[in-house]
Amino acid sequence: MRRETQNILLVLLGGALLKISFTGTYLRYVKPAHQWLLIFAGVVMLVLAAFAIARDLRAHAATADTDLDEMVDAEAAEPVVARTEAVPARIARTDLTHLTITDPVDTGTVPVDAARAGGSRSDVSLAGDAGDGVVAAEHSGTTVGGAVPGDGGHADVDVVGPGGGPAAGAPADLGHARAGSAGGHGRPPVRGDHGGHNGNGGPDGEYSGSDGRGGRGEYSGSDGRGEYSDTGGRDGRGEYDGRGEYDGLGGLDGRDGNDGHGRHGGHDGHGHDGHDGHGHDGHDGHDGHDGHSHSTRSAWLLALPVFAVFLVAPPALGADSVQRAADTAPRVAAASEFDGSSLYPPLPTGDVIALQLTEFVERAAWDSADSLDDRRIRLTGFVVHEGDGGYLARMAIGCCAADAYPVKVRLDGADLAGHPDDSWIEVVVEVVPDTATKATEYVPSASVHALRPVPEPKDPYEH
Amino acid sequence: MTVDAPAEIRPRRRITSLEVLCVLFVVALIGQSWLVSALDTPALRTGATVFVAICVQALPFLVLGVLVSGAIAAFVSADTLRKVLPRRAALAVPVAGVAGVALPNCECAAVPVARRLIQQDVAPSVALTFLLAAPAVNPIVLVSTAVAFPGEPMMVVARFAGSMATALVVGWLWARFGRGEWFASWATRRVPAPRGARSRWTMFVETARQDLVEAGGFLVVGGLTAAALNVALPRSWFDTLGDQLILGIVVMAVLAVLLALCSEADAFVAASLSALPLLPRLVFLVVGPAIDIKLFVLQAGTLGRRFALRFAPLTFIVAIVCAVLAGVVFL
Repeated sequence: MRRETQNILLVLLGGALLKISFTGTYLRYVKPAHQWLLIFAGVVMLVLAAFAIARDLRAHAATADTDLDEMVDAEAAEPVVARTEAVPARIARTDLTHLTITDPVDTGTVPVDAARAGGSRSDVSLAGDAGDGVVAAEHSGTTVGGAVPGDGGHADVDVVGPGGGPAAGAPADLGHARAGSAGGHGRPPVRGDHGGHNGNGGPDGEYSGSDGRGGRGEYSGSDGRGEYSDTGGRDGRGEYDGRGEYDGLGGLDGRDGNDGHGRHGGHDGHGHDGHDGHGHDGHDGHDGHDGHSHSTRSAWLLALPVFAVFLVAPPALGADSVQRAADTAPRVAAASEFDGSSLYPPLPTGDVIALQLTEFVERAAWDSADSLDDRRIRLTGFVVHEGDGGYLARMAIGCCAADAYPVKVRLDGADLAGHPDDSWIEVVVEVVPDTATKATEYVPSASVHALRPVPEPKDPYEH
Repeated sequence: MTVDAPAEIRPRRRITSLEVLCVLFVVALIGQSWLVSALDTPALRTGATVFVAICVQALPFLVLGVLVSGAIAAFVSADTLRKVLPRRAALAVPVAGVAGVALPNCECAAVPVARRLIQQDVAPSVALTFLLAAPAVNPIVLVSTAVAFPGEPMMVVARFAGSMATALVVGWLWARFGRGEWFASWATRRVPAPRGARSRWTMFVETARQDLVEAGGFLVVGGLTAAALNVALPRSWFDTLGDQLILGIVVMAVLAVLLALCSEADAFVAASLSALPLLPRLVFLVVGPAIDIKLFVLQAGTLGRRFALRFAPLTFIVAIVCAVLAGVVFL
């Protein structure tokens, strides 16, 4: 997944968290104490995303100018076939900031280790071995130049950097890659390969990026960034899984480009048809992409909670959960461990007093002082029909809805026919003594004196 | 690949993830009413609620975790850590266990932190001990356990002992038998130390962001799985185990893995399963923070599948054994 997409998902997710914490919907999912945590998390997500977006924009702006110039240059140019002579390429490591490429000529292997580079660093080493490698690099977006190391002096490189992107790529410090006429053969380089050498190979094709620093650094191709997919048959190198999706942009500060390109965004694909000459344009210059292509794929899943919150907004748990748990043992928390009499202070005096459903059920089941008897209690909950009985129920949560458990009271003497499941009511009841026993699974019965529908409370759960 | 016509030199446009995301959103918006009605069966509605609840509950802690992880990457050098920790892993393991007490951390938050420690050259056994200890023995968890079991102070002691023992034993076993190659190579690659204050902050933000995006995705997978199981598991099959102690222990251990509750909250659930004796419930409390389905997915994504496939069963078994021993001693 591209970096921009990740940032957008983060913004959305942070927005979703803020939305539910400010509208109060969060109470359907977690306990009230989590509100500040949610706000904090939402804000952090927005800040992280904003920071990354700001960096991308800055990098983009910096590249834009270069782009223009290059476009112009490129008009006249033709694709290049560059013959490199002794192109050195060794990309030793990229740390956050740099990619160094040096080239061992003649190395036989070309390990490309880009993709796996974790985090922000990537080590790429590639060295071309073979003599005539033909490398064609095609990049979209930002381009990459192909660097090609040949060993023996000739690697044919076709570099087409189409796009006005600033190209990247190539190992920056290529010592000298000569292309084009300079090498004697080859046509002038075309746009596109700039990168380490930014295009400077004019017609004569000589791009010597020797010092690498040429403008490079920082090319995050505008559009190109990200999504690097490599088709090419490189041989070998294992670790590079080609699957791409680098998110380019990079490095934390790649701009100092002292050695080479700092970042370049993606180019996609270079096909290399070549046999191993590979050159290979140092992808990876962008170090910033933090690598693991394996995992960026998981980021897609972040869209799920976003959809769920914005589009579906699942309701608080209700009758379905109560029925689902119907055949379970009593869930009268904690109180069941004791004999309990000392646990319950006397009820306040008054004609009708309001109690939480949890407390009502616990007292009915465990209070040896029978403090509920002959008292009128006001309870609020939703209706659940089970078998032939009607119940007043409430879900109680410890932390979030995943750990919710139901508490319920059987309502006697009330006509609940007009109240479907999940409709909220307030009742005034009197407990029927000794009904909360093991036989009833500690669900007390209560006779109803009054009943009226009420709206769903802001916090649908008890705690 | 030579291109001659200027027209073809134009960058080849590819469909990028950004476009895919936009299309996805548009489709979702158009299909919203269909989506809502499709979710309108009671089971799906309940599942959706539980899923959102797990995500909403865990994300803030994950955010805390990635901030700590980013801070370690940017501000704590490997050298500092080396100086603080005893050189020998066997001695450093208990230090990590104690550090877990001091740093309240949800289990989801501990995963990115543990990975960062490994990247900073801390011995994996030490980082893993921290990973296990931090969510299980921190003060918040112990207090919530005490609140959930008001008449059973020994439950708190037993939980502390069982969880701490699990963390230490797993750490020592890993120090002795663990192999570095089990970690995915991208997971343990060192982040080069940033130079200069500005690049430190940049690095802090970038690593935190990257960790969040990655781990967040895995958290969502874990949340989905846990929500599905939460709804699909017939609660009755573990509720009738009152007198079968061994079976009760096994079932509660499995349940701890499948329900994937937050370590702050699991004590309330355990307390509510009053049909069971205390010992199986203690097993539930010790196993849950050490390993559960959501953590497994998170670890596989963060540290590598080969690692997770070894670490999860090891932790599961060690946690059961430690919990039973702690229960026998303290309860």
